[in-house]
Amino acid sequence: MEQITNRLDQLAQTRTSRRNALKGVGVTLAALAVGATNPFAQGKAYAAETLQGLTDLDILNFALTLEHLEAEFYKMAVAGGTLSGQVLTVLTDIRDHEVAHVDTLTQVITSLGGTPAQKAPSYNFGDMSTQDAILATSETLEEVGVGAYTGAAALIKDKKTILPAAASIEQVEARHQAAIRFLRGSNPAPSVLGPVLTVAEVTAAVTPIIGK
Amino acid sequence: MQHDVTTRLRLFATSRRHFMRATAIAGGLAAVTTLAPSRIAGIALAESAFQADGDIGVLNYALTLEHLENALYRALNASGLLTGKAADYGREFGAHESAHVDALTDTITKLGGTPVQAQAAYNFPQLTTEAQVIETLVTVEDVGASAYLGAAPLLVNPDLLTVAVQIHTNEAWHATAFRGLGGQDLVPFAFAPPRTMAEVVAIVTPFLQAPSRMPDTGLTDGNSLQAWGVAGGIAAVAAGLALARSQRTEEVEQV
Repeated sequence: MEQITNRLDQLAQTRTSRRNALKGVGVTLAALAVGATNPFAQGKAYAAETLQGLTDLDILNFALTLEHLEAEFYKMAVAGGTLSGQVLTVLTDIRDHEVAHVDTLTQVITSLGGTPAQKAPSYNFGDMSTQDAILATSETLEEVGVGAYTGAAALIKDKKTILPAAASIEQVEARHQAAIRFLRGSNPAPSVLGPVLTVAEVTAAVTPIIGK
Repeated sequence: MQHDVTTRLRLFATSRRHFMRATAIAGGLAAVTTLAPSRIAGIALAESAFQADGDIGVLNYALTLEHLENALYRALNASGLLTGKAADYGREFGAHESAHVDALTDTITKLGGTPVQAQAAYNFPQLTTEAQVIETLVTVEDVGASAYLGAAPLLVNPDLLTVAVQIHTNEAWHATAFRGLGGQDLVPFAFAPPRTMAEVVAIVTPFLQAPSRMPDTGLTDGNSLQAWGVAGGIAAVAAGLALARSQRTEEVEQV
């Protein structure tokens, strides 16, 4: 538990520093434009990861691992009997979406000749005893999901089929994140740009939940 | 100004065709070359020059929509129809669109392109109630998100693609916020639907300034974004979704 909290704190700090870095979005995009001839000029970890030989199947399985985690979280949350009203309605819809993502990614990976990642034997989602606790974890998971898909998008080699499909799912995760924030009474759109995380950052965030 | 938008959209269509040819040529060269480092560098350079051209077209398309959104928020915020939280969101999200306009304009200029300008005025519908304003913003933000979803995969430069996906996220957030305030479904679908540029242009044309309500984009089905496989990607997702639907009941019951 404590470990999860620490990890999530770390993630939150990473997020904050990124947000600060992206405050002047004009400056950021301008820097990107200047760096266009040399993607590494800005030290962009996302671009650097393309050199690590991640295949589209690797990325799809990376996404599937996250979708398993999310699907299991929402199944547990909805089945737990703690939720009610609009929160129950929305989280039930989100559960169905995550299950659909799991099924679709599994099918796509299989059709490409890969071996789809399986769900973990168990997950540690921390405190599931109150609606507030569930919504807090949910918001963090969705933000990681959005950041993960956004960071992975540029690494996808099949731009005609897999990238549009991944971006489609990314938008759904973004809507989930905003919906949870709305339910918690926070501004659903807190920044000019959505979050972006590297594969390493995502792995660090979810490893304590999945365990090993 | 109308002319400017139209011209830009036509240039965009042209640059896409250009890029397709260039990529085919570069791809062909790559296939037959013996991969001497100097040859590879030369091909990469030639390819990136054409790709930058294509990316500018995509960014100008996005900028056209951001100008429209920016102007819409200004008009609706000034109308005084929004109250409370909706008024707060109107101001904040309007500032986001303005930041997107500035960032895209700056980036296009830095890439050597000519950023499309805002129209002097737009034909926005006359709204009289807060509910109408919220409904309009839901529609516009949903269209904006679908437009980015259709166009972002066309960006070749990976850093530009990443930022486009990040803006796409922000537009989806806006749509969700107004969906919540308007009592609409907060999470309407498991897979977000993209729109092609032709589809988006058809939707936004009534907002564009007279006399020419329908800009001549020079687009046909053959060279619209559809040709770039967006439809193919979604067909795959749709097939997966159908499968998922059939399995979902069973899956959920296992909990």
